[in-house]
Parts: sequence; C-alpha cells; structure tokens
Amino acid sequence: MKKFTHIAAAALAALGLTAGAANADYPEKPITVVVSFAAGGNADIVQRLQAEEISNQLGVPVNVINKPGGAHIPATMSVLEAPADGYTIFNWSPPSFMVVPLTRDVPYEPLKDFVPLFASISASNALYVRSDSPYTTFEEFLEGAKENKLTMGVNNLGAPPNLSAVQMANEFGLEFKTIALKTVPATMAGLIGGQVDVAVGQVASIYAYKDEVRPLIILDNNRRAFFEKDLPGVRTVGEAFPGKEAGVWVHGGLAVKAGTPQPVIDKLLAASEVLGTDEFQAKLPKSVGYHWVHGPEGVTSLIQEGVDLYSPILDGLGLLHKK
Amino acid sequence: MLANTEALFQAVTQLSQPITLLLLVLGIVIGLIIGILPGLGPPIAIALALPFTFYLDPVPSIILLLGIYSAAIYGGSISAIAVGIPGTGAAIATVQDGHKMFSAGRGGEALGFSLTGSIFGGLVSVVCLAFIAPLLAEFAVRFGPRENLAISVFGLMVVVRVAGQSLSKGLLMGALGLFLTTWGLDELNGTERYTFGSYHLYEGLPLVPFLVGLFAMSEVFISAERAHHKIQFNQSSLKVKLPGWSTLMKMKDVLLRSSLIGTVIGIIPGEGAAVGAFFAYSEAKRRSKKPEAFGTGIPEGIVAPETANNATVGGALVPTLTLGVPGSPAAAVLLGALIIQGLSPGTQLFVEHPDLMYAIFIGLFAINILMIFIGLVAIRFAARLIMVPTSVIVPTVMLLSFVGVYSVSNSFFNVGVMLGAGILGYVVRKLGYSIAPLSIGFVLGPILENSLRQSLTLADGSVQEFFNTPIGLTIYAALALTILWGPVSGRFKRRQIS
Repeated sequence: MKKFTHIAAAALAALGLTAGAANADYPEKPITVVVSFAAGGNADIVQRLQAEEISNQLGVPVNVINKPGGAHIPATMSVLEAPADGYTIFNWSPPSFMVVPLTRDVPYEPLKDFVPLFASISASNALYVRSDSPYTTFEEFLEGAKENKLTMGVNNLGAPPNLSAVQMANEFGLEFKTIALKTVPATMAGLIGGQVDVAVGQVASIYAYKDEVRPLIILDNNRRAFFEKDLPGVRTVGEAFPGKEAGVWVHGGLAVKAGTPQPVIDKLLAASEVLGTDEFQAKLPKSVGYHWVHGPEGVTSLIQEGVDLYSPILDGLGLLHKK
Repeated sequence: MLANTEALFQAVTQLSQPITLLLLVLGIVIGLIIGILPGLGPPIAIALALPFTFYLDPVPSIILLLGIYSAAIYGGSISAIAVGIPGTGAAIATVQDGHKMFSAGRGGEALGFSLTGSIFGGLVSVVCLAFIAPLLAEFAVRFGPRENLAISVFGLMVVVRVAGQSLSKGLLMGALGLFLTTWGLDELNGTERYTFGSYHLYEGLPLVPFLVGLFAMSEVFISAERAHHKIQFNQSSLKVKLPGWSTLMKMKDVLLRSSLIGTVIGIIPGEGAAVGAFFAYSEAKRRSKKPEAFGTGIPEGIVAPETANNATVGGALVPTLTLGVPGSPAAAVLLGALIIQGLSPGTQLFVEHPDLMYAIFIGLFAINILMIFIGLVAIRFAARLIMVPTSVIVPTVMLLSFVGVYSVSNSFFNVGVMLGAGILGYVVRKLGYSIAPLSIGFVLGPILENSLRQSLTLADGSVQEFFNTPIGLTIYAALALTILWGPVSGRFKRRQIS
C-alpha cells in the first residue's frame, strides 16, 4: 500500500499536479545538505551532528555531501542550481557568506539568493604566545611588539584570525611579519615549534595545547558565553583598553535557496529548533563554539554585522572587492 | 609510558570486544577494495565510513578507520602491479617496476613483494609511533616554512632519479608539473593566475583528479590501442609467491631505509604517502649497484615505495594525535572522527587518554598482521587479472575512475580535469616522455611555492635569516652530498685504476 502511494505521488508529481500538495507533504524524500569544506573539519562535524537531529525531526534521511574547492563557490552555486524546494540545503560559513563575496566577484549574493534558517557554530579569536614566552601579559607583549617586528601566525590570509590580527595591529599601531599556516591547529603547532612568536587562534584552541601556550587577550569585544568556559579570567581588548575596537565574525548555519515555498521554510525552522537546546549543545565537541540565532531576520542582521565589521579591514588590506 | 599498566589493560580489553575485532576485519576489507579502485583513495574511504562511527565508541571507530587507511594505501599497489594503474596516489612509484614484472610473467611474485614491503613498513612505523611519538612530535613542530622548503628542494632531486631514459626530458616534465601548480589564486595577495575566468580553478587544478587522469586515463588510452593483442603468459606466473627469508635478508637495507624514510615523510605535515614512496624509490635507486635496472621490473623497485608508503601511516599519525595537525589528507578525516568522539587531539591527548593511545598502537599493529592474510586472498584474485582481456579492463577502469573522481568533491569539473590530464599524459607518453617526474612536480609544487614565499617573509631581506634553520641546513648538506657523491667517488675510483 505504501508503495502504491509512492508511485501515485510520483506520477502526480510528474504531471505537475501537486505543486500545492507537495509543500504540505514536505519532506517526502531524502534531503541533501551541501558542505563546502572537506570532510573532517569542525564545520563538517557539526553539520553531520545537526543533520542527524534534523533527520529525526523530519523522518527522512538528511545526507551531508562535501563539495570542497574553488574558494567555496562551486558548492554555493550547486545549491542555487538545484530547485528551490527545500531538498538541497546549504551549509553557509564565513568564507562562502562573508569573506569570499567581500573579496571577489562572485556569481551570487548571500542575502538575495538565499534565505538563512539559523546560525549555530561560532568562534572567537584570542592572541596566544608560547608558555615559555617572556610576554606574560598583553601589556608586555605590546612593549615587545613595538620594539621588534614579531612574527605573527594566522591560518589563512583574509580569514577571520588574520583580520583580527590586522585590526589589533591597526588599533595599537603595531607591525608584524605574517605567516599563514593553513589551519588553526597548524598555527598553534607552529607557535609551539617556534615558527612564529605570537599567533591568533580560536578561544577554544586552548583545549588541545593547554600546557604549551598562554592566552594573552581575547580579540572580541562582544563577550560571549563560551569565553569564560574556555579562557576563564582572560580579558577582551575592550575590557582592558576601553575605546579600542576588536571584533570577530565567525558564524555558520543552514540556508535554503531564495524562492523556497514558505511552508517548507516553516517546517525546516520548526525541525531545527532542537539545535538551539542545551541538550543538543551538550553533544557537541568542547572545541566547538556555539552562538544560536534562529530565523531569517535574526541571521540576516547577524550577517550584515559581519559585512560592516570586515569591509573596512579588508579595504585597508587592499582586498575588498569594489562593485 | 610503559609504566601505565592499567591503561594498557583497558586498551586490550576494549580491543578484544567482538565488535572491535569485527570492525578491524571489515575496515581492512573495505580499505583494500577502495584502495584497488583508481580514484578512490584513503581520504574518501575514511570519509565514507565516518558517519557510522557516530554510533560507536572511540576505540572501535578509530580501529575501523585505521584499518581502512592502512589497507587502502596497500590496496593501491595491487592495481598498480596487475593493471599498471595506481589505485591511489601512494602507489604511483610502484607502477614502473611492478607492472613490468607482472607483464614479464612474474605477477604473483611482484604482488608478494608489495604485500611484504607494505606490512614491514607499516609495522616499523607503528613501533616508532608507539615508542617515540612524543619525541617525534618535537621533531614535527620544528618543521616550518624554511624546513619545508629544504625538503621540497630535496624532493626535486627525486625528479632526476625517476626521469627515465633522458634526463632533459625528465626535467622538462618536472618543470611542467611545477608550472601547472601555479594555477589558481595566489594565496598571499589573491591574484588570479591561469583561472581562465572560471571560479572552479580558484584553488588550482585538483590533485586527485589530475593524478588519476595522468596515470589511469593515459594508461587506459594506451591499452585501448592494443586491446586486441593477446597477452602471452605462463600459468605458473599466477601463483602468488611471498619472498623467502634469504630474499628478505638480501633486501633488509632497502626495507629498513624505506620504512624510516616513509615514517619521517609521514610525520612532516603536508607531505603524503606519494612523496614518501618516491623518496624511498629514488634512494633505493641511488644506493643500488645497478641503478639502471630500476624501471625494468625488479623487486627493489616495488619493495622500496611500498614499504615507504605504508610507513607513512604511522608517521602521519604522530602530528595528528600529538599536535592535532594532520600529517596527510587521510589523517585529516581521521582527526575529524576523533573530534566527533569528543576528544581534542593535541598535546594533551596522551596525558588525558592513555588507554586510547595504547589501543591505537596495538590496534594498528594487529591491523598490519591481519593484512597479511586478507592481502594474500586479494592478490590471489589480482594475479589472475592478467587473464582478463584488455577490452574488459579498459572500460571497467574508465568507469571506476569516473565514479571515483566525481565522488572526491561531487563535481563534474573534476571529471573534466581528469580527462584533460589523461589526454596530456597520453600525448606526453607517446612522445617518449615519462609522467612520473610530472607527477612529482605537481605534488611538490604547492609546498615549494608556499614555503619559499613564507621563508622570504620570515627572512625579511636577510640571507642569513633565510638560512637560519639547523634542520634545513642539514637537509641542504645531505642534498649536496647526494649530488656530489657520484662524481667524486667515480673520479676517485678512476684514479685508483689508472
């Protein structure tokens, strides 16, 4: 009987008779989530855990597929090339929704071509030195950095840790030799191995290297819940130096193609509600920061905040793409 | 570390659970199959199994993934030898001698050599991992831009050793490989280089599709030309033969040296199994009394790369487990699996989870032992592949390569790159050039460029600062020695004769 209904549904769909009904029945087949990173990283891991949860809510499989490469553009475009029916969902992240559109001529506009559902995974940056470094406080580091041109380790040029370093350098009048070490863990390893004098890592980077590195300051003036958990007692730039700016925008979540029927969006929003609960967050690895914003309006203004924060910094580096 | 008997006991208990043992066998079988298929390599294999580990405890999940990792690297040699197409990038260096030996009617023997070498290399690297991992981690963090530059320059030497008949042709191919890696966005200033207006090329030509095209597709095109030739072979060549004790003793230097080369290359983040295999091959050739025999189908030409590529597994786990920095693309996915389990790979992992570390050491040892038996079954079938007509093999390999390359990033662009690289490989081979130096240039290019430019940033205009690297200077000295040794000793010998 079940089989018969499926065949009937397929036949009706083929005839184009079910446009209205399809929304009501959503979802009736597996959903695909496109991740623009390779398998294994934090973004991928969290997405897989979230997919499990959404799948339980909706009762259909939610498959995560990875489409790395091409500065995240092919993955983004693959979602826009699929129908706006809620069966292909995009896992947006800082490169695809922020850094790449700000620095390159891309064939999409994040806020026009997509409807963001929620923001979940997040991170903030902190400044680290080796635990045997002569700089035990940020003030001592400032003195040292003014006397010598120190070597600064970041993951990638143009990525949030680099932008935090640039903002700090601008605010305090410092200059560094900047080395990009590809990933945040590799940056921390480079710091431990003496490749760089100082490094910008994430607040949660401390867990894997707690005896080898020393946090000096948090490079984010918006104090978030996880700061005190990860780096207890460490000040933010604004707390230590009122008036100095420091900001980080690292967020990621899910979005559907613009034009997706409202009933489908509503179902996805309802199904994703569980991801904001403490119960779900307890399942996440402790190295993952989480900042929950639910619904298109909230996420849209969150993304606008990022554009406002990073545009001037990228412009200062000569990287901003002017339309 | 040996003092912690309680953790050791816990590790053994967890490993002897029936589910863990089952996953151990399953991992090896899956890994072997995926390794044999061209295009599908260890990173894909581990990524495919990743979702299943959500439901498992840390020890069984990591054992499953390590089984897949080790067996996939070994599996690549089976297709390299039996079909002349490396199943994974790690087996590229094995093709030359392996397939020649197979075609010369010594297939069973060739497959036996690759199995033995792989197991030996795997075991040596596990022992290194188990006993001196913290020490090795100390070594791994010393590798910054200047050290990586030195090792990449050394790597270019390998191009010369695998150049084939003509050195100038080999160098030209190496240069072509390097040139092709300059495509894509400049990582320092974002300039577009040879992107031809397509964002697909922003991160350059993708590695796996390019290598599969270069090796598998070009081989497919070349064999298609002789699809109707009947291959002559001797029934006795089908019998799988493991090398005897006396043969192994004769090769003990090659085995040991290749194991160490593989382990060390594995430890250095960014250098994978393919680089390790090429280094070992070139070193075996350099040390050999008959270097000209390499490439004609000799056992050393199989044993050296196969020992080294499996030795990179243990090596790659050193930075992965102790620093949280993956030593290879496959190790990157493995790292993800550990993070999903709520662990934080880094300097604290040993301290916080000694039982897990023991389980990994013992498990990896067991995987290598078990791989002997499962490998023997697999190569019995593989040896018989020679009886399958080319007209069946060619379309099958082609289909599998399409599927494999597409699945790397679910993109048709990659399939196009594979076909393009296949045509390039075919033309180049038809013109009498070798594709091995081209592939080395392609693998080393990005590391070379990146480390050179970062070294220049670090040096900030000072030559002294540029060479301010004890490890790097040691590598440069070793390089100078390997270049000068031949001419100097040759001259010395000639003088003695006259």
